[in-house]
Amino acid sequence: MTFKLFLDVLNKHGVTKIDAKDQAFDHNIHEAMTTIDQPGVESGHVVDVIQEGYKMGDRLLRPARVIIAK
Amino acid sequence: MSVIIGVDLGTTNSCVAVMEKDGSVKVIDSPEGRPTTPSIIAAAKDGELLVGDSAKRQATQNPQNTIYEVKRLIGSTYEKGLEKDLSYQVSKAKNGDCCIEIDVNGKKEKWSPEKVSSLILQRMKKTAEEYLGHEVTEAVITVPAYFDDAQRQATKDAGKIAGLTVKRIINEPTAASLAFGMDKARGDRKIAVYDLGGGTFDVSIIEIANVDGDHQFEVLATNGDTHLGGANFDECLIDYLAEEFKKENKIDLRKDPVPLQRLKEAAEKAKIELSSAQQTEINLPFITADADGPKHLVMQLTRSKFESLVDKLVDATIKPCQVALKDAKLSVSDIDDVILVGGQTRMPKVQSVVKDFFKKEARKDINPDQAVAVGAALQGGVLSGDVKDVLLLDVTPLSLGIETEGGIMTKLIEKNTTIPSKKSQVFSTAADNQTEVTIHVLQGERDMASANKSLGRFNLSNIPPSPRGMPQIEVSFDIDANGILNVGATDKATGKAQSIVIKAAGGLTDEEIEQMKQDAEQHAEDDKLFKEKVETKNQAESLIAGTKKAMTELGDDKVEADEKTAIETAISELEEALKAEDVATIKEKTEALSQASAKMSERLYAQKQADASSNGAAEQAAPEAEGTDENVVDAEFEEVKDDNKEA
Repeated sequence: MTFKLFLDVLNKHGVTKIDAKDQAFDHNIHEAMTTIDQPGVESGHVVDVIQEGYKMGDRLLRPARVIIAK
Repeated sequence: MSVIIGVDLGTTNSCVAVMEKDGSVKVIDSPEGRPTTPSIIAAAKDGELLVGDSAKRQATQNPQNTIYEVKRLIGSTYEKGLEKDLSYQVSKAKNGDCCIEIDVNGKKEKWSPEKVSSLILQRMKKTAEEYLGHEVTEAVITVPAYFDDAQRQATKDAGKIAGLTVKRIINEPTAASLAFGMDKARGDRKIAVYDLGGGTFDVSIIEIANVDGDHQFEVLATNGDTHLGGANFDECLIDYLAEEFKKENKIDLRKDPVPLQRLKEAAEKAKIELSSAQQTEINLPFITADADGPKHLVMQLTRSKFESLVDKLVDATIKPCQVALKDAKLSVSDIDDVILVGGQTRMPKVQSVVKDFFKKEARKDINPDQAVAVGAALQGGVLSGDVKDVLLLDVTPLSLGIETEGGIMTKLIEKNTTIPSKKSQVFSTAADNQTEVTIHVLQGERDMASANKSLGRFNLSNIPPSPRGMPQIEVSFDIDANGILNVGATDKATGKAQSIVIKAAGGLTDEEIEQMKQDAEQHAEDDKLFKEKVETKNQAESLIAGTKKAMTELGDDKVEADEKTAIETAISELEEALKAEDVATIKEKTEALSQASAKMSERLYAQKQADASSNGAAEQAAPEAEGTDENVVDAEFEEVKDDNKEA
C-alpha cells in the first residue's frame, strides 16, 4: 500500500519500474547476475528478478538484476 | 579552438576530463551518469559491440566474449602477458603479441589489445564530444610510469585507431602530481605519489620547483609493479572464498566461468564495503548446483580477516617505495607530501601502511579515482597553450644502451634521465677490417646484455676496412617527450648513417593501424544504422499502440467503417514490415499509418480538449483539496476522468 503510493509519486515525476520478468535480456536496462537452465523459458529471457531496476524517462537509474535462462 | 582532452586509460576503469575555458578542470560523466567508465568491451550475442557499463552488466551472461583488464596485455608479448584467470581466450598473434579471440556475430575474430583499448578511447572521446558539443581530435593519455617503450607505443597506436591524435603520453603519477600541484600554494616541495589502481602499482617521487615564478614538475624516480593492483586484492579474496566453499561442498567455483564472474563481483563489493565497515556479509544464492540440489554461498567476512588475506600484497608495495626513494637519493624525511591515487588506496590498511612508511599522513584531498584524468586534462591545457606557467619534465623509467664487445650493455641514457633527451657516444670496431657493426638497442639495468630487454637492432655496413679501433661510429639516442626512442648510427669517415625508431618488439605496423582505424570508422557507421533501426522500430510500435488505443477510446460509433478498415490495413502492413526489419519499409508504412489515422486523431484531440475543460471545471470546483494534500487531488483527477468515460 505504502509502496504503491510511493511508486505513484515516483511515476508522477517520470520514474518507472523496469518490467523485466519474461522479457528478452537487454544489456541496456538489465544486469545479468547468472544464467540457469529453465525449461519452458526461451533462451536469453529473464527467468527471475533479484532486484528491481528503475528508469527516469529514458535514463537508467538502476539496472534490474536478473537471472537469465540458458 | 581545439580542446585536448585528458584520458586516464585504466586497467579496470577509465576516466576523461577536459579543461574549461575558465581554466578549471571538469571530469566528464559517462552517459550512465558516472565519472568513470569500466574498461570493459563485449560482443553481445546479436553482434552489437558494448563498451563500459552495459558490457559490465552482461559479463555474467557472456563471459567468453567480454574483454576486461586489457591494459595488462597491451604491448606485451604472448608469454609475458599470459594470465591465468581471464575468462576470454588469449592466443599468440603472428607478431608475437597477445591477441584476443572473440565471437562477433558467430564469427571468430582475433583482436589486438590495441583495438580493444581503442574502443574504450573512442567511448571516452564520444563522452567528451557530447559534453563539449564539438569534435575532439586530440588527447593526452596516461600510462603507468613503469610502461616500457612497446607498451607506450601500443597505447599511442590505440589512440590513433580511435581517431585521436595523442599529443602526449604522460605517466600517471606525473599527471596526479600535476593535479595536486596546480591547486596548491607555490614553492619547492618533494612529493611521493602512491598509486594503487585496479591493475598496476606505481610510486613516484616528484619535485615541484618554483623557477622564476614558473611551476616545474620533475619526476625524480619511479618504481612499481605492473602486476599488482586492486584486481589482485579481489583475486586473493576470491581464492579464499572459493577454497572455503570447496572445503564445504567439494566444488571448485573457479572452474565454471559463470559462478566465477559472480564471485568476482561479490568479492569486489565486499572489499569496497570493508573500507568503511568492520564486517560484511557475502551472500550468493544459487551459486552452483550438484546432485543434491542448489548450493548457496553465505559468508561473514571481517575487515581484519580480509587484511590478513591481503597482507602480502600491501607489504609488496613497500619495496618499490624504498627503491624509488633510493633512486631519487632522498630519505623519508625529505618528502613533503604523500598523495594517494587509485581506488584501492581507500582501503584503511593501505593508508596506514603508507603513513607508517612515509611517517606522515597522506593527502586525500584529491579524488583518487579522478586525479590522473584531471592531471592529463591540465597537461592538455598546457599543450594547447591555455596554461602557460607549468613546465613538465618526465624521466625514463629504465636505462637505455647498446650491446658492445663481450655481450656487455653500455648505457647511453641512464634511468631517471629527464626526457626529452639526446645523447651520443662514439664507438669503434672490435676486429680488424670489420666492415659491418650491429647496433643492438637494449633497455634495462643489468650489465649483461642478454639479461636486458632487446628493443631492436640494425646494421651499419660498408665501413671501409681498417684496423680495429680506427673507425669512428657515432651512436645517438634521441628520446622524445613521449618516451619514444630514436636510435641513429653514423660512420664519421664516410658519413653513412642508419637509424631506427624503437617500437614494440611485435607491435603493429602503420598499415595495420590504418586498417583498424578504417574498421573503427566502419563500425561507427554500423552503430548509427543500428540506432536508426531501433529508433524507427520504436516509433512504429508506439504509433501502432497509440492508434489502437485511440480507436478503442473513441469507440466504434465515432470511427467511420471505411476509415477503420484503412487504419487496420495500415497497422497490419506496418506490423509485417516490423517483422521483416527493413528500415525503409518500416518508415514508409509508419508514414502511411499516421496519414490514415490523422483524421481520427484530430477528432480524438478535439474530444480530449473538451474533456480537459470539463476536468478543469472539476478541479476548480474543489480548490480546498488542492492546497491540503496532493494525493487527494490526484484521486479526484482520476475520478473525473472515469466519469467522462462513462458519459
